[in-house]
Amino acid sequence: MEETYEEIVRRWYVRLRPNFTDFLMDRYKQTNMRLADAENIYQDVFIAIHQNIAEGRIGADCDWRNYIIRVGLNMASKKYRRIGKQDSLDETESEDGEKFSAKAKKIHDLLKDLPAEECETNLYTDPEAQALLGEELIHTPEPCASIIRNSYFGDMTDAEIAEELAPYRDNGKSVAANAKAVKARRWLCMRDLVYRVKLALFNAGIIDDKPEKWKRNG
Amino acid sequence: MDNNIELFDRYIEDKLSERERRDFDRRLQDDKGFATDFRIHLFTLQGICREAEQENVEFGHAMKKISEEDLMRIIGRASTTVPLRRNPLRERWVWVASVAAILVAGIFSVISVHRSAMDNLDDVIVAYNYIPDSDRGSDYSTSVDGLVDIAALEEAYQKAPTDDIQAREDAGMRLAMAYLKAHDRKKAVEILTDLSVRFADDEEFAAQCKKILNQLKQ
Repeated sequence: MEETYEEIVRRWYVRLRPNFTDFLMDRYKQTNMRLADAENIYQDVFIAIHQNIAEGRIGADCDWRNYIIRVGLNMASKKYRRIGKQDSLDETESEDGEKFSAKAKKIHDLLKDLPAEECETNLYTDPEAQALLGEELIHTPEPCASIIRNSYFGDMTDAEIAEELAPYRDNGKSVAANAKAVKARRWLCMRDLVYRVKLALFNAGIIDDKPEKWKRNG
Repeated sequence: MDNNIELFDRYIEDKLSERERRDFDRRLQDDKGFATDFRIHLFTLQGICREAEQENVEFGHAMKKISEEDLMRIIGRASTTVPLRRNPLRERWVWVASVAAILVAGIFSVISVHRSAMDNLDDVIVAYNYIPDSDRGSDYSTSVDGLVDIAALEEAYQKAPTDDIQAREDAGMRLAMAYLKAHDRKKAVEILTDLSVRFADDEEFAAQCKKILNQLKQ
């Protein structure tokens, strides 16, 4: 069922809000930034985005997730200028990023260069395979979904992901330790996701190899 | 598959050494299972990137289609309303007027209660001190209820025979009581004072006038 515009905006607004506000409050904890302040900045970001779109400042291929975070950090930096990190990013900068992240582009190129085997279903163009993959992606739980998306599409390092995601940010451990934990979690998440994808493809008869059974990482 | 995810990621990120990369490429050619795993890994990553891209596109379209009003509603920001301009001077005057009104009402209430109490006292004094005479020849009633025609009583007092001290005392007392019954204390006091002086020789009568005057002073 097609989502309405409102639902799409709401989905992004709701999805990013907890991480965004937690991140801001942690970053500006010296200023005792409250949740209400962080949420106000978050709301201001969406208003600024709406205005920037109306003024034609944002490109069609904008990475919205990163853009929202960048604009938010910039706003917070201006507001809490005296204490905390300075963010020199210009919120009005047009986000004419590449269509793919660097990693995504690399994946795309590798796929093109991979030699095709005989009688092998081309997964990348098979609609059924794509649909099965889509289903498994939708059912990927958090924080796996965020870790996977941030890593492979957002080009974020494990340390950056650890700095943003709540379970790793406020646990009192060092950045390096948290980055290591994110890395380990990313492997587990990918292993689980790939297992589910392979199982779905095998059950659909698209591939012949049945995946090895392993205990899912809930 | 357990260690392959890390290997696949390092291959994608060009983090393999020259030797490791040659081994990887050789394995892709020789190991069908390894090759399938790698393909599915790339297939999954491609799906992740495609989904994230599609979300970006949908969000961009949604933000363009949504009105600012709808956006405000979604993010929970109250619509901006023009605040009522406060008039500090007007507010101060209203406050002063309110306090004054309360004070005036309070003062009038106190006065009313006091007057009512004084009126009651006047009636008590009249009832206690005035003993109607049984002069049947008078043109007015000498009972307490008859002390209403002040004009007649004033005339009677003026016309009382000068050689009849008793008649003059009675006429004077009736007039004083009539004034008191009409709650005209000032005139009652004037008459009683005049009577106590004029008829000072009649000690009993003068004492009665003074007693009433003392009662009126309370």
